[in-house]
Amino acid sequence: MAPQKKSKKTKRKPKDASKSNASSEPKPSESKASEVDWWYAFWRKNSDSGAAIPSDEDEAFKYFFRVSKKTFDYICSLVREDLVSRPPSGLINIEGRLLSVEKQVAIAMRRLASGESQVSVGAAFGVGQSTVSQVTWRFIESMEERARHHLNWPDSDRMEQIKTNLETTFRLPNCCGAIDATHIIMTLPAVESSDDWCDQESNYSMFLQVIVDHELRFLDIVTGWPGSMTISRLIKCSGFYKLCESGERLNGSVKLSSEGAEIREFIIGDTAYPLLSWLMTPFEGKGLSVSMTNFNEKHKAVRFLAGRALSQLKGSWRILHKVMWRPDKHKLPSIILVCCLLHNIIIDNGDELRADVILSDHHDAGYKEQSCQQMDSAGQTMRENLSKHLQSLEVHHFG
Amino acid sequence: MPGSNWLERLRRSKGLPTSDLDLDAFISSLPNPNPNPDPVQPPAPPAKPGCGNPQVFDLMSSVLSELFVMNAPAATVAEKPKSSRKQRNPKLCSRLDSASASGARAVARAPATSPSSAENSLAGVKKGRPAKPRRKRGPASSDFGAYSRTEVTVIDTSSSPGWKSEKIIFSKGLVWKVRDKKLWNFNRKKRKLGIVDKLGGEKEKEKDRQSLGEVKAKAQKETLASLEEECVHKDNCTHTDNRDTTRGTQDQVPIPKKRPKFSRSPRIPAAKDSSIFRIKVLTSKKNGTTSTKNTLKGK
Repeated sequence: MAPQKKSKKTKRKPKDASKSNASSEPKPSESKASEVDWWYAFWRKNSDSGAAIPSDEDEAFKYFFRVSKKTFDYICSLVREDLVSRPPSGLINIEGRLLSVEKQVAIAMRRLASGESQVSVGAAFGVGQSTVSQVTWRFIESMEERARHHLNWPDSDRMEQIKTNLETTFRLPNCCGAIDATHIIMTLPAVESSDDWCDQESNYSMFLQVIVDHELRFLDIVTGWPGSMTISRLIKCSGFYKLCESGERLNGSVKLSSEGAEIREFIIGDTAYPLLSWLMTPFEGKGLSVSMTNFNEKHKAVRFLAGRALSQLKGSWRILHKVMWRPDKHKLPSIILVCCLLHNIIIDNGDELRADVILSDHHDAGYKEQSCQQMDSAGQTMRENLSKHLQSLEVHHFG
Repeated sequence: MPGSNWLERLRRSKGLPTSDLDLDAFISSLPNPNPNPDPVQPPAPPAKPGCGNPQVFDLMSSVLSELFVMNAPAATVAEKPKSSRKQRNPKLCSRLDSASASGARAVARAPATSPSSAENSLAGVKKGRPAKPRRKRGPASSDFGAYSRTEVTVIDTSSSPGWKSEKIIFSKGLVWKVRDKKLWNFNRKKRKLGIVDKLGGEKEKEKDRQSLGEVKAKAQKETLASLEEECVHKDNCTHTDNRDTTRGTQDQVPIPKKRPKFSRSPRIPAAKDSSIFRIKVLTSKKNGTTSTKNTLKGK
């Protein structure tokens, strides 16, 4: 998203305000009918803008906004208080009427979903570029506050559900989720061409690190760190790492493996992460034993959850997938967060994403997997215990 | 005499008489001194010291014809296109003219003018030079600080009390130091307050942070020394950072905010907080280039 210019912050006042009898009199808001009609007007206008646009109304709505109408209304209810247009500062439509909350939410979500320029999103709605800019940022600021309950570390009950699900599917006891990171690529102004943002593939990027559960919900995110960091450093800068190291997180009940060894709560990460007692990475190298290979297979399957969640995120909210044009790096984390919140809201409301939304390729296509050789002895022990546990389950299963 | 051999050889190669050469006569017969003596040309041009005017005329007419559309001198321009484009050595020429015209007094004046003209001609370089060492001093002094500095806004859902925090990253190769930025951007805060009501307590916290930040900024050297070591670790990762840490980083802290600190605490090496230093470098660079431009224009 292009940085918002402060000069454009000036609120649009109706030019004919002085002409009206009472300046305090509310500007005619879009009527109830037109609040619903914004969608039909938008659909009519854009129904032939792409070959893939479904003819079914609900599917078309999802195509444009990624969410069902029901979820859309829920999102509007979250932000209504902040976005409701009140004269004289309210944003006005091209017809001179105040923009309804629904239309504002639609503009913002279309901008996030399509990643198209503010100008083309504005054209699709019949509003100007600066309106798109203002509306999107207002939506993001509001969502940051109003929807944060959709992204929290689960309480113990919820964590038990997650662990049970993961153990049932992947046979890994006490597994609490998977961690992964992706780059949000951007361009920088020439004067700011700092290499602190230049990542391993020579892109300017910002990191997003997520921990996901079995439903592909985000349990924890970190963003804002420059892409030049290594992933092992990224996690060490995260609050999650600090909490885990101090025993305040992943500190649930210890389980016993089939061989009686202790297995604490842990998450799964790829080779870019260090092997820690609470973070399991795969075995590397040649000549792995059967139990090691077996562990790696299960590990890969869980890790796939995180990768898929990120592909879904970047596919749904294409603003994160496209190369962002000189974003304000202090605002970009908020945009990323809100996309993650929307991702969770979709899951929480039981919406199903359209199949064509998810990225066809890897969420971080073009990036080589990093390899962190750092191993914690407690982590090694844990990993050994887990692989032995899996092996014994295999023996039981086939025996 | 070996000396005469090389001289003769030189003279021969230039097509000059090898013996009985009266130097005075030769010099006085020399045409307009040419830095690129053509072995055939020197005797050929009949131009004599007194013949400066036609040359000047040619020069002027060609310059004028370049500036304006002039039909008549076009032919002369076509004949001598090169001489019209470049003055071969105008100052040297005038000096010789004046020297030959008014003798010793003018010769005495000539050295007086020539150094100044030399100064002028070199001024672009000489005045440009202060900029160059400064430019060089940049990296040298930032070795003193040696850390590249980046301000980031981080959102971390596991951090408390708020998800959002501002950090400053000091990086130097594999060593990364991260610390909290205590100063807050007033504009952003104000703007946020306008849209989403913030808790009053948060405002107070921010005020506290500001005062704390000021205190801490004064002791920046100590802070730097005792930076969070948790992020200072040598990664065993195969992915290595070979970045030059001395290169400029973006600094989005408003200059006026930082400057008082710089002036108040001169003992604190500014380069530690490289932003301050870089701002200085940038301005000095700018001055350097502008002065260079000026002198070039003057020339």
